[in-house]
Amino acid sequence: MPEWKQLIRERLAGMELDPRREAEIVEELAQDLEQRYTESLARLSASDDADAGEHSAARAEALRMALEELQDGESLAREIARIERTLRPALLRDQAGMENAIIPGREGRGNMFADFWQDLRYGARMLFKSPGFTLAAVLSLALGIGANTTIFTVVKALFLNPLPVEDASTLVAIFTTDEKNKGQGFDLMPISGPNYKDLRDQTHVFAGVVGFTFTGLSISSGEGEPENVPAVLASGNYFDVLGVKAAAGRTFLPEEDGVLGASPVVVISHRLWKNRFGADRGLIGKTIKLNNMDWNVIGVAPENFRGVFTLFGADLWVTQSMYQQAIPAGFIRDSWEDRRALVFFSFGRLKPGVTLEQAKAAMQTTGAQLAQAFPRENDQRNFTATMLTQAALNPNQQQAFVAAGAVMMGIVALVLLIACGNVANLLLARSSSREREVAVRVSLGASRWRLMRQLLTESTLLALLAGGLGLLLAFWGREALWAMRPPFMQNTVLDMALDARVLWFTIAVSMLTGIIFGLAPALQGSRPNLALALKDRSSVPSRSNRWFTCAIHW
Amino acid sequence: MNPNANLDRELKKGSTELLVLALVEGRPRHGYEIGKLIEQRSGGVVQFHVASLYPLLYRLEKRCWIAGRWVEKAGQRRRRFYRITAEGRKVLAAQRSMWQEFVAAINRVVGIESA
Repeated sequence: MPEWKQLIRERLAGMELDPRREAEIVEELAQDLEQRYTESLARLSASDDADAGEHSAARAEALRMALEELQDGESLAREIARIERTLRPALLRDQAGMENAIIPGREGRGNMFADFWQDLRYGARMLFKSPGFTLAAVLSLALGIGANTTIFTVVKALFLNPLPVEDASTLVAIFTTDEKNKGQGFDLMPISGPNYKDLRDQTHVFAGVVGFTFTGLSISSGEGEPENVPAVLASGNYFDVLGVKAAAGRTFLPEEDGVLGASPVVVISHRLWKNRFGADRGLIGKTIKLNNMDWNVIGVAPENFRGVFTLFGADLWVTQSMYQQAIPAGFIRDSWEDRRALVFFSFGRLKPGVTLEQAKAAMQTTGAQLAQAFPRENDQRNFTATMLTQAALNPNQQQAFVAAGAVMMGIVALVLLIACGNVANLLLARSSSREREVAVRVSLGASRWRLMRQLLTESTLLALLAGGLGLLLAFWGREALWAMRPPFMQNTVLDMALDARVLWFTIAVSMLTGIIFGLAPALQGSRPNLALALKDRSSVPSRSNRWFTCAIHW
Repeated sequence: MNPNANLDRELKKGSTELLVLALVEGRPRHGYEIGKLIEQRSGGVVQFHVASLYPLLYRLEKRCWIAGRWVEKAGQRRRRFYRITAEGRKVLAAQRSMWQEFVAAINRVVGIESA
């Protein structure tokens, strides 16, 4: 008896499979060949009186016939190796007459990314084949996604940009409370100059307390026409308490907030430095003209820093000791030392280990003492604090801003949902023209989940295309939206950059959109009526009928 | 080329899976038995060489339309038997339906021309 396993291994060298699997295949083929050999030998040696020579010839012939079954061993080895290594069905071209058709089986076993890539390519082909539908759907969705992205950009700028300071969790904003004004939208009010100083000196829960106010300074140096730019007059420890380091040069020294009028030093914003002075590093140490007076530029603020208030950014910082030069004659200047006039804003950094509640309690103790010491000015007044991050927008109107933001997001979300509904209808109408394709796939073994995945990938791809266009629309839309801002925000500069967060938001909205409008069509489209769909409805064979046309071709 | 040989090849190409699935539908069978049954029941019209039968079986197995298992019977060497799976049954039903429609369509055409 021939050594079948040996013979097969010789002819199928190069399969290079897992040894166990290769041994199984060899064993199986060996059994088959042995059985064929035995039958052939029995047939060829049928005559009882055959001699030894004839028996030998019969054995040789039976062996030859058995080995002929393997035909071209090398090709067979390659074919078996290809099949064994394929984890999912490959593209089959003509077996079912569907060129480039994807014949599904148990795909995805251990090859999810390959399946997803296949679905993407197929989905892209399907969308490309229906340019009219694709264009209508993409435009419809892009408007909705673009609107959402635009509003998100504004919401992000107002609420989600972190304060560009060191350890914002220990910074608190300090306010005056007045029992007489409570509940009238003035619960949290600024502080007076004398009260700020007393609070700073008599409350021991802060590592530093800052007082500052706003004004406008006329700048005539640098490029461009003279203009009035927003400025902050701050105590000398302003930048130190915030932990903000200069991008160029330095910030205030303690002695620069000492003798009145003695230190005309200024820190300028990065924006102003770039726009008026071409980001010239040589500006540090030089003087610029503010309010027709020379001020020494000591430093440039970091690029993303314009103060602690979202809506009121500054381009210049000078010390409070220069208030008589910086602030024009008027209420604020006249009230500088008035304990009753609430013309300052204040914040402080908590000492290590001190909580907000502890700070509030300490401040209220000081407030009570000051109310006793100054009964007329501080009558029914005290102090309180909130986290500085929560005071970035006007704390008395924070909730109104949040509500407005929520309403805007809600409105554009509704617009997008309507667009999703329209596109879902388009998809449902289109699904009837793809029923046959789906039916053939189901008949060849595609699971419903597989089909749904394919259809959802198509809809998600459509939505991502719309998202890309929507991002472009948002790029223009945010400028248009910002131009319509209310008068009190005219000098506000918001960071409405289309940054990574906006991009991720757009991608997330696009994918969610794709699932929302794609789910119903996918559920319906993955459940065709096989019997109806597989009947040949037209006299001209469709693409799917090529299985039949190939078979009868001669 | 002999047109009949061409037709023979094309028709067989489209029906091999159907043949195998149909034969393992009733009970599990090993590869040699499947090849033999196809030859016997087709009256010798359809014959499978080992070089085409086993790649086909392995392909169907990879698609999970059939499942192979080594079975050892008392006093015999183990053999690999193939049985149809639930997915395979669905595919078989669909392919049977398509084949019947195809045959009916051919008959209609051939029948009309003969008349």
